[in-house]
Amino acid sequence: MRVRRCMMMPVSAHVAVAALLLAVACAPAQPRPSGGTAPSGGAPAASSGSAPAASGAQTGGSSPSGGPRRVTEVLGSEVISISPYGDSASPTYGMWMHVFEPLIAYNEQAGQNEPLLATSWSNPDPNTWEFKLREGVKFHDGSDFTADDVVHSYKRMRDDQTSAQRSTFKNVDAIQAVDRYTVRVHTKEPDAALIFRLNNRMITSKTVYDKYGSGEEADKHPIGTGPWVFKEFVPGQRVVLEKNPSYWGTERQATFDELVVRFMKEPQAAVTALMNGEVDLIPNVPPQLVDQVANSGRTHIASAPGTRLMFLGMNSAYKPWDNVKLRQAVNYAIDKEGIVKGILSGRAHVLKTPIGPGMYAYDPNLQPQYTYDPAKAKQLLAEAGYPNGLDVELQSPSGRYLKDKEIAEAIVNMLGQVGIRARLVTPEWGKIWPDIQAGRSPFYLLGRGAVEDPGEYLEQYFKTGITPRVNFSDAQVDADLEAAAREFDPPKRVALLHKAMSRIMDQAPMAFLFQYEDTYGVSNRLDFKARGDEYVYAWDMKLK
Amino acid sequence: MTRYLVRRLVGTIPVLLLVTLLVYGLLHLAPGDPASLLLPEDATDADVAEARARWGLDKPFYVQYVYFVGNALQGNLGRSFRFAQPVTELIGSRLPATVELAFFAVLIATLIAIPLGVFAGARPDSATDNVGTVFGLFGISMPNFWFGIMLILLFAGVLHWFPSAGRSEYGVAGQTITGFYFVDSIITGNWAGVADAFRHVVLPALTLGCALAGILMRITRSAVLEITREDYVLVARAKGLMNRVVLWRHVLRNALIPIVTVVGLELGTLLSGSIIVETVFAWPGVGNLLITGVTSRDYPLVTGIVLMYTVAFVTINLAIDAIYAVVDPRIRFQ
Repeated sequence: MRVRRCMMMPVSAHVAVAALLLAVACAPAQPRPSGGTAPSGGAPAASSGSAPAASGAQTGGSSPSGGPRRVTEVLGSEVISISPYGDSASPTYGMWMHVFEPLIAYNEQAGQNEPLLATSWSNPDPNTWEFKLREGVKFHDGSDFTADDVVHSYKRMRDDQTSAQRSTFKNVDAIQAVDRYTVRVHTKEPDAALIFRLNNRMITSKTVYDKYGSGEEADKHPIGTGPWVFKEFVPGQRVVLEKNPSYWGTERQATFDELVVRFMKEPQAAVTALMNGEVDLIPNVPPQLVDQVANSGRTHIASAPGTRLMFLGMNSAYKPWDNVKLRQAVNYAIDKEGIVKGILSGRAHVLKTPIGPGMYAYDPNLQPQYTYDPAKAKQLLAEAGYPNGLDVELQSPSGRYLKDKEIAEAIVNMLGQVGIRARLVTPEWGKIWPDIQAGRSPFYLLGRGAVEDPGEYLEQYFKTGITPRVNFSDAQVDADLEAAAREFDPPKRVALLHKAMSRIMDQAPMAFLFQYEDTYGVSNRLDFKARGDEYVYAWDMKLK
Repeated sequence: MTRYLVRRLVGTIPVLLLVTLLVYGLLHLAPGDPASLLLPEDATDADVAEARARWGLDKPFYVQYVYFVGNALQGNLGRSFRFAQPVTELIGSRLPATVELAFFAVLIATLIAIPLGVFAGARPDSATDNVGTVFGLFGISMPNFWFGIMLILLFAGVLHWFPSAGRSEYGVAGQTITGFYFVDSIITGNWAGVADAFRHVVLPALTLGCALAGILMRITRSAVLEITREDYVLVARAKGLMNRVVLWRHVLRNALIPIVTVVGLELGTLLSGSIIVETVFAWPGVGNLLITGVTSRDYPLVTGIVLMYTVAFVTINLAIDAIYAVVDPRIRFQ
């Protein structure tokens, strides 16, 4: 009896200490918001509050027997706010596109935009876009979708200080509702590529915004027109969406009940969760793990050419990069096939032109092109005035893009073989990216993501005076890009873009390298058709 | 006692000021501009300039710092650049996860380390002592992230006993009241939720607790070893008390002072260790938030979190001092 009491003491002391520490650690806590879960949609279809308790041994991937049919998907980055306007990352847009819808959608296979909330669009004059809206569409709270919602959404994206989509509307002058189902967008300058920027600009409800009075409050009630209804957001952990049984459309109609979107930053951890059956779909499978995922017997790989272009930028504001022959020599010196096969296990596509397959106005036969030719590179180097080679510095991010540092090391080696002795430096992303944007990096490895229509990307890098990233200036390219932006007839516009890209290839302000393949790991209980734009859609999934 | 605590509390003010100044200064010295990091790839120079102005980055460093301190004194740590939310709200929403993890790490560490340390110290050079010493060395020398990955590979990957990441399963975790999933589940009587919270916390808490357990075991062992040689232990034995009574009642009680000190000091280390562990296990705590803040140069968020860490560290140490008096009645504060 006495012994037992003595034995108890150390344990109770531990508990007391631990409890005290817990209390202490809580002390500096700031006032907590009312729970980690944001308020639920408030839409009639969304069951708010606590979810029903399922069996404890339940893993995320599979559905409870007899319970809702559920798919769990991993997002490589965190959804940071409950507002679709708060972030500009493609995976986040992909999630929000289930709840909210844009007027138009980009079809990667067809390489063109298709109607969604708009049924048609036209240009009454070069500075005006007119959209005819779909009638009979309802928001999740039962209210009608009308032109007022479109005007409200576009204006908010343009004028709200916290909006991450303001640059889409930088050329937009006025946005007006002509009647209940017609919207006009007026631009300052003719802007043929505007339509490509609008295909992920989502429409939110004006009624909801007016009801809550401010963007911050309204965002807590994500009510859209989409095939999925918002159910739960747990910061740092997940978003849960629920099937919208009264969705207006058929093509995107939900075929299962719940979509759980979990946030996991580490690709390696995501692979483990997939193999463990905790999740059904993960993005960015690292190349060295692709075989493991493909051959596990429970999972498979789905992939598509991505919209991220990788290139070497050569800023002509700095010597020796003002020398066009040197820039061409760099282009000939790089064995792109070797990089793709050797480092990326073939999970990338060599870029023959400034853009790649899946992008608007892509032509694989555009001339001139650079194939790997070290002899030619040496000859050009000599012609450029460097018969004995030269020393340069190559800047590359490390860990920003898949295998970026390894790729940069291979490039250094290839350049060395023709006499361009490059020294590799890998500043942190927080340093290299502002440097490149401000034109402070003479020679660097970089990627440009989310390219569908090349107009904006080409202007950003190659039109005089837009950005100092490569300081390229060419009268013909300027004229062609200018004309392309004003040309609303697709074949004519494509021809102008081709002409500009040919000239860019010839002048070689960049060495275009490759386009990553987007690789997804998928559970065998799911069929999934991958897209190249990092958007993962439930309507591209089929639950077996 | 009260007077002592007040004096100590006043003494922390310069520490907090210095820490915020250091963090603020270091962040501004670090290369990289939040505006260009956070805006989309197609943002124009005008967009970047506008964002800089909105966040006050166009003002000189000292002006920004004075604003920060002024607001912080009123309990306002500013708005996060990346999350566009008040920093206090963000930290508040993530803190329960970190505290829950730290609590279980300490629990696991003490439950493993103290018995092991006591037995090892009581019988030096025995088999128990050797096993304990090896365990202690392992705990101290093994890197957190590696051990975490190994646990994931074994217990999640091969054995499927525990989930590999996250804090709760959707559909099991119930209503959020306090933010502590165990507490919430118990309050609402959601036993499946308790089990779910437990399954998720085991691996990260084990990872985090193991290093602490190693140090704690070593300290307990040496303290016990020292105290067993004291005269009063000899007296206790001479009185004919059972060995267990001597060990747990007389030896351990006296060995608790260094143990409590180490737990207190290590709790600070635990907070920083949890930054790595939270990343490995996708644990939605403050450490995970800090990583996001650092990579996006989110000045208010990073400063706010470091400030919170400092306050926690100082408070824990203060609490440990107070606990001394409880553990050892001989100690009195003047």
